[in-house]
Amino acid sequence: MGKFEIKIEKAGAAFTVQVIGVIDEDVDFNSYSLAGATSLELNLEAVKSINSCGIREWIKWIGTAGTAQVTYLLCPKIIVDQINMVQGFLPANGKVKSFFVPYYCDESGEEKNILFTHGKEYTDSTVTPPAAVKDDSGNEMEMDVVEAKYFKFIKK
Amino acid sequence: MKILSQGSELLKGIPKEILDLAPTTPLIDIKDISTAKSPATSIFVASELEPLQIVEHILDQSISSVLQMNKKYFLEDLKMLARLKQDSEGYFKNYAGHLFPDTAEKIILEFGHANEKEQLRAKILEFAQKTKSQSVVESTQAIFEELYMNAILDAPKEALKRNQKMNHYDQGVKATFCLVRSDLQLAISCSDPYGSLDCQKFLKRLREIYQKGAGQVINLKKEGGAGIGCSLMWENSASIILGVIPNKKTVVTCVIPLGLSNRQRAEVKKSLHLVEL
Repeated sequence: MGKFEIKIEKAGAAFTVQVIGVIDEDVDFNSYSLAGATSLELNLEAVKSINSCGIREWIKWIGTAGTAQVTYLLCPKIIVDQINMVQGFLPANGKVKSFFVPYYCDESGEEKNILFTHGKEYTDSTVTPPAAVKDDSGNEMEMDVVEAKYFKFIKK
Repeated sequence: MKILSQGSELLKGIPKEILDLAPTTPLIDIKDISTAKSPATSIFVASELEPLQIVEHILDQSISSVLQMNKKYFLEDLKMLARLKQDSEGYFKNYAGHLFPDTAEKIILEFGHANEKEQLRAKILEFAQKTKSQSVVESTQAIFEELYMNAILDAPKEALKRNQKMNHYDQGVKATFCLVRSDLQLAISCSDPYGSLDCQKFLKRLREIYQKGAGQVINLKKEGGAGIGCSLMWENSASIILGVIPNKKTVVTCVIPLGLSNRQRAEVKKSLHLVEL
């Protein structure tokens, strides 16, 4: 497998897309047409990194979906960072269905990524984190983000 | 370094042996910037500046160094800057190794072709993984991506535009990554043999991004870079050092503080330094 792969499944005009690997200056989205989609669901869990050229190509590619309803799910932190930093990375009519939030335990130094799902840990305007997150030894972990920054896309 | 700000809380208690590392370099509280006699060669110290304010200070007042106080790292940062100011040429020879000579580990990787990228990535990530912090690994990767593209794609194009007569990568010259790691920081430098970095242009671009937002200023044309890499590098590090010998060499270094959680690292105040020979 190369460093980048896209898998598209089409059920009529509903496209489900899985994006895998590194999105950089070598990426070529031209082979993955989004024409005809009325809904576009992108699973981003397996994205390993994205650079500035990759961000540009992503914005252009997602733009070809036109008025399709766009949903991002299982967004890793590197994607959430771009959603917050680069207006247009999530299209204006786009939604985030789920994303990962880093947690950290001071005592053990353990890091974990906890999935926040729309309708459960957050809504369109509020964030309700899980009651308790524990590391593998049972120590309590803390949300390891600057909340005002990380949840910026939710509280717009 | 010579402390020129009297009564500054920020500059209290700096050990003499650190000041003596660069005995003629003025060290000034940014509140006293209007009284600085040689702003271009001074180190200005601040504590509450946002990135946009730092860029504006450097552009508007022709200063070359803004160091922000982060308690745990301040003395190490001062030592680093003293080495940079006292022996700038050393920075262009030994990159991050010059800034942080007392480090646990160092790697040097030369490259000159686009097909070396994945090998480079693997070695750099292996180095970063020794910090045992996934967020540090991600930041290192993000910085690597932008430095790599600048060295292998943007710098040669700029040199061509300037009709620079020199050897290019396809004639055997190399760019270099240098990474160093101690308990306190991981620094990643990239050196290219073109010297086409325009610091003013870089800073003006940064200013635009912080004023309007990356999404508003991103270059969506196919030609050239996207123009937001500078902010991606700085967002993933605490300090950036931009060094250039025009038409000869560019060395850019990003410093990532260690021993912090992701949230603590995001709250670290940023610094920026220029050196041009």
